[in-house]
Amino acid sequence: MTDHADDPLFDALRAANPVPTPPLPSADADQLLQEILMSDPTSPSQRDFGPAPTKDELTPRRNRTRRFALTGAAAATAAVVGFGAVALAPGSSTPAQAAMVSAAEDTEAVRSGTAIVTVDTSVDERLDDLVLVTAFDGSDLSATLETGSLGVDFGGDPEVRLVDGVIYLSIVDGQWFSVEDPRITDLVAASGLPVDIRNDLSRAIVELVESASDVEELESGHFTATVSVDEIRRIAENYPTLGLYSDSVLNDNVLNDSVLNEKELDADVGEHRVAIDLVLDDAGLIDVVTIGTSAVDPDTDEAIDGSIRIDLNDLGTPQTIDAPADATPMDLAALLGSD
Amino acid sequence: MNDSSRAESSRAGAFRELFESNHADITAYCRRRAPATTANDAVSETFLTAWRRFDDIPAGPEARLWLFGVARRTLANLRRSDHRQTELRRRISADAGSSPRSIGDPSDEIVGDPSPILDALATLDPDDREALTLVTWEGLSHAEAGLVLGCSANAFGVRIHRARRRLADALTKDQP
Repeated sequence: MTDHADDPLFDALRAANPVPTPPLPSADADQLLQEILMSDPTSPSQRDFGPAPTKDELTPRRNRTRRFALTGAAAATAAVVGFGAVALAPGSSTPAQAAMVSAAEDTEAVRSGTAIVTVDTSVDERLDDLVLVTAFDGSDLSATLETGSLGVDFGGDPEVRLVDGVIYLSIVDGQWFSVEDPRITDLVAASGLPVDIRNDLSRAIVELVESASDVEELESGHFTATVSVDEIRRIAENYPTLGLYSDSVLNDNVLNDSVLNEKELDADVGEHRVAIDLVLDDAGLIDVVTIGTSAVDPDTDEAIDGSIRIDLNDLGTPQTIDAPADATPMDLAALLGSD
Repeated sequence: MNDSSRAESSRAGAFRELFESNHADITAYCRRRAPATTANDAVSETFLTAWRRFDDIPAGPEARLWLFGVARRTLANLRRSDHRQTELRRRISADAGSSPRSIGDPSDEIVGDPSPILDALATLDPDDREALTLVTWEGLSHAEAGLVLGCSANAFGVRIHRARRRLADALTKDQP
């Protein structure tokens, strides 16, 4: 499988390939092969650069039929709550909205794929974008959160995997723990990683577009709309993990660290609405959802823009999500370092 | 033929198959990232390493990824030890107005004709460039590229996502 097949930027890079076609077999290659075969393979090498096996390479792989989990949509919806924003009065359903909802429902039915959620935290220039990369295949998922922008050094990017109902968590220095205690969900969510995002959470994006107003189809497969922030909060309340994610990642680490908070944004924006931009792929499934916010800093009168972008890729393509081979079983109390 | 000879013959046959299946791809990989002389040295060194460490090479398609990983490290090492010569070749090539040219950080060069996209690529750090070119030039998936770089597919996904954004930013900056 080749990723980014329809990305113009990647297409441009492919076109700039300085050696687009591998060279044909040559006499030089034959000579090299003969020289190597005649050499002593046991002789000490001055340089030996074979890559060490990664943990994943040591992990048995499985392919199974799995169910859909739209992790990115969940995290992004939660992120909207953190930013705060807008609201429109619910509008009547239109053909454009019906098409958008239908696409969301079709996407919900997909059982595997990947999602990249990018939260633009330009609300505070000290912070870089927050990026969450997920893969899902049925009820299994993996999610990696880039932590550099959070100002927290975990010795590596936190990653969580859910494989066959067991949560595997790597928070510090790449060390894996397996935790079967159901209370781990709260702990993981507090770290900013989704874990309880399974089938029902794919509903979040459906509910998001169902509650949209001002829906317009700018061109075939490209929609814009607005959604009230109250609706978004209601959606988040239906999915507790979203709320936890929002609180831990955005409120604690982003908004509370800036001059703004949610209430100030709400008060200043006045109309309380967020804009949604939704693009479908050739199969009619959701390709990109962007949820934008815009407000004015009450202290500086400067415009503040933020956005949450969800890129869905490889929908329908089975994803291999491995259980780490070297995970250490650990109870919750031990993981927390307390009783 | 005794058991020892039989084993050596089998090993040589398997290595020949590995070599013939992957030599072109590894050569292309090296030539995309280094001048011809360095690239050829890297190809030789890569397969010599594979011959010495044949028992460590994973079976199946991952053997090719293992070779990419070796080639990457070999190139990096050759450049470190041969930095002065590389710089000299680059200057000579530039003075002669000829292409291909070498661009970017000498610790991780890319060879190619001038173009806005390659100019933008040259401004990225080596890790970003490698992530982008493994996918676009070598045609690897995230999982495969992750194996080459020794990280998970998810981690690679993060890396290439950010690399793509930086490349887009660099292209925008380069525009008049």
